[in-house]
Amino acid sequence: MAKKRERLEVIHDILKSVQDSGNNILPTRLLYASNLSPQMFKEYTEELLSKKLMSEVISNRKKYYSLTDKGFEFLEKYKLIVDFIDNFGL
Amino acid sequence: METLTVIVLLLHALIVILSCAYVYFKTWKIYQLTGHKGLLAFRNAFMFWGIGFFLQFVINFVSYSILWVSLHFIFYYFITAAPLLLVYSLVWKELEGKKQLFLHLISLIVSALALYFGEWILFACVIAVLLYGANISYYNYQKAKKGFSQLYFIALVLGLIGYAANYVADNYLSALPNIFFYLLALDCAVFLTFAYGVYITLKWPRKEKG
Repeated sequence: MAKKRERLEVIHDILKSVQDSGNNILPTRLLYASNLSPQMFKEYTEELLSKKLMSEVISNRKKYYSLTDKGFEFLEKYKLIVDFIDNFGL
Repeated sequence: METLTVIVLLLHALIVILSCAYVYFKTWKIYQLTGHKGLLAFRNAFMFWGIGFFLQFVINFVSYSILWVSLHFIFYYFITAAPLLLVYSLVWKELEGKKQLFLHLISLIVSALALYFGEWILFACVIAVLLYGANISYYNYQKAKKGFSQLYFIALVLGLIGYAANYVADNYLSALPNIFFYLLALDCAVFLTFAYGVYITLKWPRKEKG
């Protein structure tokens, strides 16, 4: 049985999927890539948008998600963040 | 108050406050990126300790009055809430749904009781919480066996010893020469250890120039 992902790990996976798609991904494609239920996906994307890790882009009347500078920074520093959380038992 | 005592108190306050400030501000970036609840509690713990030790320093120069009583109550609140928040940062996932507010309510109640019945209530509460925290920290160290986790456990135990030693020294050993300086040194050691842990764990990769 697959181990339940921690919140930070889910955020990392979502942002990585956006990055890997050329920083422009349709919401439905991101939903499949994130491996989350629609309800959880909605909660996470709303959080990521409100925290400005991701942004919405409208192009050809379609909505896409892309990473902000803060989102890129999260991915860049993810390992350091996880190490800190582990070291301090947070 | 003797000049040497004032200098030692000032030095102690500066070391502890600056260590706490270092932990709080150095962890700001990763909190901003993650919004991690455990990290929020961890940062708040050190903010509260910094404020608490500042108040402790100020109280030394205030004579008995309404102001002295008020400052003591506020000091007790911060110095109780800080270890509660630190231990909360270790167990927040198990307490999911319970907000930090209940910790502040407990701290206010303990502070009021300490003001009325004596400091032993505050020390008993904090020592019990830190004992529990040390147990959790030891478990985390056994699980991780790496990085700062061992030093974290040691710092937590030193903090626990510090609180216990302060109570014993205040009530039973105040006549012993230099006990006061050893306790201040222990305080400094604890907070410098945490500051060191944050420093070595959060060495951001330097950006290449040019």
